[in-house]
Amino acid sequence: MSQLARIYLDNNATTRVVEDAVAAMMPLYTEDYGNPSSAHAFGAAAGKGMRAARKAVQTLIGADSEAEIIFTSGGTEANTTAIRSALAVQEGRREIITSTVEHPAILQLCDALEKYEGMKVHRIPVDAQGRLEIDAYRAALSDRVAVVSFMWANNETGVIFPVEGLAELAHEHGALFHTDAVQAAGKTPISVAGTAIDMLSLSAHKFHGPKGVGALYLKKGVAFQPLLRGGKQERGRRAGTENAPAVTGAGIAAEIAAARVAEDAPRIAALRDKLETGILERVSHCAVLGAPRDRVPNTLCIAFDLVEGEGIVMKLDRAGIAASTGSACASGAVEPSHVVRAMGVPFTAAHGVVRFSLSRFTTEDEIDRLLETLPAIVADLRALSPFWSDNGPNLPGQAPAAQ
Amino acid sequence: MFDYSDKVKEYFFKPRNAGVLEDANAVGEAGSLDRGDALKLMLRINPLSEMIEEARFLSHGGGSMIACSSALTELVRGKSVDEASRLTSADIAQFLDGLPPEKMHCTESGEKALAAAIAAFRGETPVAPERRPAQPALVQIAVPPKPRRAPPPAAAAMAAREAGAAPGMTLRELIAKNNPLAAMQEEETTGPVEPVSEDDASVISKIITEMRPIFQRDKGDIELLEIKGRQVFVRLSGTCASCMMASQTLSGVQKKIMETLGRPFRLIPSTARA
Repeated sequence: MSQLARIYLDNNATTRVVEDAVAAMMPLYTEDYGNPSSAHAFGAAAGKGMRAARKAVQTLIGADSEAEIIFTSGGTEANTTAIRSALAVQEGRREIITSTVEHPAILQLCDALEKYEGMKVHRIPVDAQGRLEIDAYRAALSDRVAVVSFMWANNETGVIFPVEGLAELAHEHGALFHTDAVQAAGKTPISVAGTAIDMLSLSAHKFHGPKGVGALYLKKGVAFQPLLRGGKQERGRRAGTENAPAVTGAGIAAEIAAARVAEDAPRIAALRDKLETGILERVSHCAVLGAPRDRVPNTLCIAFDLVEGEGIVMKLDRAGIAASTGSACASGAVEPSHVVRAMGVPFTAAHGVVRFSLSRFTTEDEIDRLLETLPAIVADLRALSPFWSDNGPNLPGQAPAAQ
Repeated sequence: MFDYSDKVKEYFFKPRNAGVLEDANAVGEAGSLDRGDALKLMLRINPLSEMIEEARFLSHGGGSMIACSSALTELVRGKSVDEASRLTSADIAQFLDGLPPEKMHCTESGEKALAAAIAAFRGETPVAPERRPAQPALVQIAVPPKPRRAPPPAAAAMAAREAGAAPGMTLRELIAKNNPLAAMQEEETTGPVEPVSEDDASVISKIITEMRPIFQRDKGDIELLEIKGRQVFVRLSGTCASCMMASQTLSGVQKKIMETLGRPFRLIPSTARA
């Protein structure tokens, strides 16, 4: 194992929790451990952290009112609540529109709603750069659609969908609009006030908050049915004793992210661009996945021809650098990811997808070390491949996927 | 990321015998690029003694594929062609202290490339291993049912209504409707035991052998004891005997047997027999 410090470039998977958040959380476990619903001083302290958190999340996403924020157990719960609520409040509408590249939290839910509850699901494809096929979306819209759900930014490629405009199209047909902003919140400045976005999901651990806590933004006036019923927590919109320490930590993380995002985003983008240019210069036959100008600043998804991403990630890990592959990461399946397949990446490169995701803690030294390490790893693996010769790809009758 | 054994990691990070063998006289290829299990195996075989003097590989795949390829070259070096021809995918997996089930296809590439190389050396046309077409499983439940005590009459009536029993349906009919496996068990204990064909027995034996590395990976083992009608008795040893996961893996073995043969079979661990 390397003596050098470890480098973490898997921030789209999860992030390091900021110290301030941890510090704010600890007393809520050991001293002020009251139930926020209780009338005594123990509970009051917990309630105070939650109020600050609600305000901080409101600021982070530019919502009109803190009453529009419902804390949940994370992005998956927020997504599930949003879609199920939208269907429940519009009984005559039994269709859903989403995209082929959503997170499994949306895709699996839609599959189940289709299979067990008879909903019709339109899955809108993307082009080779991961951008939504708008014409297909327009064609799918009708007054039968209850809810449209498009992610704000893609977790694998970082590609941003123009959700404000997509939301307006949904409203033209009377459909509600939800966006999964788990990969956008805290990474790129976002603001929901004044848009047609009715609901938005976010997750604290993607912006240096703790795991197991997220939020659903529910625009004032939008009809709602809770997913979890029981106590009066979250104004009766999400029952269950609040995870006050985690919500408080999420609040601190949101506050810091909101204050820094405008300044951090260009700096992180510059590091990402340096990494991208550096790899393209040093390694032949690889290509960036995702529309270059429509991405969140921290994400670089790159496909290497004729190498398996898993091999690259294992060797990087041995060198103390954490990244992830575009396949196998979530499901344990050996297939290229649904996002890579939806973008039509040629099969020679589809298995060689590696994702680097930066954070505001990423330094230029770390990017330099990765650039020193990666070319030899790719070269070593290609040297083992029967489909690679000294001159490049050696595939009889096959054109290489990327130059 | 997959939980690989130390041996797999060792052979991935420092693969033995990688590269082109210039004076190879037997070359076999198997697998494919899009499955991530392509292998080119190059052997130098002494034409007089038929000993494999040198073995090298080129392979395209993830950590497990490169480890499997390298392991195969280590396994065949110094063996006679006859000895090598008896190596199977299970031997490769065993050499590597087991592989995750999703990665077992890598070892199959190894077995096929070796067969192709040996066939090339002998001047034969390699014969593709015969595979039965996959048939849908007849039975959905793969966990051996526990013997149940008869519920009290009122509860039984309620359970029967819940289970969708039509009035006048016998208990056995109801069981057959909702749980074909239990109905089969009923049949097994009452009906005659039909003898298992040698063909089916060898398929079952092969499946169990192929899946051994999964048990060995968890420091245990599985062994075929006997086949009686549709009951397949196996012995679990080591940590598997007491492990909760074993029952899940066992149901995987049972499912594979049923899918391959297209008929219901029940796998009975000998611990459950006592």
